[in-house]
Amino acid sequence: MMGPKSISVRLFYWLLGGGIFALLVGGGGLFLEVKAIIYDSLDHTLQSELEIFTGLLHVEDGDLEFEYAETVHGDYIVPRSGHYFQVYIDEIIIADSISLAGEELALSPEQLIAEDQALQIKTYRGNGPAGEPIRLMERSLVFAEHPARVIVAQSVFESEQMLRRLRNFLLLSGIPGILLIATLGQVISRKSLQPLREFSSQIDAIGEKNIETRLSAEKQYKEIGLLATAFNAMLERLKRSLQSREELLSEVSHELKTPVAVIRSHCDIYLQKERPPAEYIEALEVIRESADALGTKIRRLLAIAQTEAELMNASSLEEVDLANCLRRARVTVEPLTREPQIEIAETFEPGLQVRGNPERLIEAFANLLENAIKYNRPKGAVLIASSRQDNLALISIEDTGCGIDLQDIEKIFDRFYRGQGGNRTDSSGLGLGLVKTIIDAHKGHIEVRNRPEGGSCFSITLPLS
Amino acid sequence: MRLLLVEDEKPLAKVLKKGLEEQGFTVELSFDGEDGLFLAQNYAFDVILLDIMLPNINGLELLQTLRKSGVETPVLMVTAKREMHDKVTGLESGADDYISKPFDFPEVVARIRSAIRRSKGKPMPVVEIADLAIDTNTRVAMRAGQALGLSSKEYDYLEYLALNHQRVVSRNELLNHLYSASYDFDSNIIDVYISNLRRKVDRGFDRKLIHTLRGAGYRLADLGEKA
Repeated sequence: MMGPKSISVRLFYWLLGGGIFALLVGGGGLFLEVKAIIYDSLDHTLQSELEIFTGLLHVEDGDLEFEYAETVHGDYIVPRSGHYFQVYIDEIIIADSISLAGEELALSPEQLIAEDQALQIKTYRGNGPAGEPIRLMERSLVFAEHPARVIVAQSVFESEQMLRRLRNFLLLSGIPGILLIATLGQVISRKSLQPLREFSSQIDAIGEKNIETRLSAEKQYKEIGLLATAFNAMLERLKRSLQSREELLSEVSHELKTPVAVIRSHCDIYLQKERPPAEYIEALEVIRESADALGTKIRRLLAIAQTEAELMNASSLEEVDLANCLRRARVTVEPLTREPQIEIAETFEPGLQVRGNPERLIEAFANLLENAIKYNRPKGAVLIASSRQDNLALISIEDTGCGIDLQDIEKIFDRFYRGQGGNRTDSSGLGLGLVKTIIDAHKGHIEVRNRPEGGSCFSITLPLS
Repeated sequence: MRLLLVEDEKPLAKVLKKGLEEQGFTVELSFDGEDGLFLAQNYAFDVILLDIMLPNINGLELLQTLRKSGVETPVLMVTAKREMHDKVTGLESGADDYISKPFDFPEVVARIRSAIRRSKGKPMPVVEIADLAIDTNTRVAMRAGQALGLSSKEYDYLEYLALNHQRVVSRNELLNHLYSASYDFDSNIIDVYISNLRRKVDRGFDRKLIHTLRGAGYRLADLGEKA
């Protein structure tokens, strides 16, 4: 069974692997170092012995001779003592140690360990007269025009035994070492992930009810602190979205229930007793108005919801030429200008491109133009302009109408704004709420102000692509 | 019974006023919180029907201010919002009941009547005084099992006296609770209604229930006096 990847298991394996590697390197290193020290010291001894024995060669009465006197003592005279020497001249043994007991020290090229060209010294491995492992050092020289070789050897039996014991000790102590590392690894991996577990339980405790809760980024480990900051930012975004959903629901329920209450109350009350027809007509008229208001609200809501859903879908976005969009929006409202004789003027900066949904952008601009015509004075004017400001496209739609009441100017983009003059039911326009929804979805901004010379001016900024 | 309706949705307020008046209530209408608070604090009402979403002062604030200033008139909150916390806050702030929009009008009327009765210490819909029984739901008064055949206004007088039967009700109080503030009245009208009531309620019965206390007002009670 394969579970999801676990950081603690991974951490554990890394620690275990690292520990074993460290043990191997440490143990192996120690072993090799000890071995090197032992053989170095041995080689050093052998080399000085070589020096001595070389110095014992001398010429006497024209013969080449080896001065035994100096060497006939100590380990060299005890048979198979582990200390040996042998001297060749013209490849004939002219001297050897008593300890050899007549045996010859054999050198095989396969057992060569090291060679010092300058000193003409070669080091070999081999076996002594008792079959024990020995280390041999041979010096080749020319003595009184005769080729000579001096060989010294020493048993390494004890050294090798010591090294074997050291190796066994190291290998045996490795098992508890690995166990110790495994245990430590587990503890460390668990310990180091403990803050993460605690952090996770803190996050667990946050729900829709206590979305206000923020994780503490201080007094935390640095890594968790970063996570906490990122989480807090996400919570903030979630909170805002929840809030706006909450507000929308509350607003929608109020806006929809009120006209239903009006309709229902009229029915209830007018049905309580028989009345003259005029009273029924009066009631039905109110009911019709409320039903219309309800219908408009539902239509706006659906349009906004649909637009939001559509614009959320990134595949509906494309490169849009602003001037083209504005021109097409203008075409759709052209028929409305005839009767009130309204002039539309345009000044477009060419080549402004934004990323968006052209249909929706045209709808937004057409809505604004329709308002500019509808709330204009007869023979008035509408000015559409687009320009570039840094990396933003600036679009303005101005009219010469009566402007907007200051008390309405803030609510004008609300989803359920009823339009100037209270209950005026506009049949075609879906309202400025939809326009704002579209502009917002394009990461743009819309605002309105009254022009000092009269009329209103809607300004939109959209990020250029 | 005098009712204050605070509701900013004009078509709804108007039709409710009409419906409630047809149910025998005297209705004062207010379209915003500030005006509603002023009326509630300065005039006598038997019940207040209060919308929560109001311009200027919202319904909850209005209610809290009202209760702080010692006005104990029963209040029914009306709202289209769905938040439970509004409901809880409303009831905790001293509302007596809570009605959600859209509502059933007969139910609203029943709840209003119930709130008024409870505030007068009469939780049951039928109020009985001696052998007189007044059904506040059907607005029918009976004495000794016999319907009295009262007009709507006569019934209002009798119901008001019955709900306050432990005490004397002044003429002024009757005027305040049974007539709209804008009513341009002739206070003789009270004498006319009381004398009609007396004729319908007491005539032919051996115990007198409607008493006039000179200089103080009227009282509906069985004081052991012969008719």
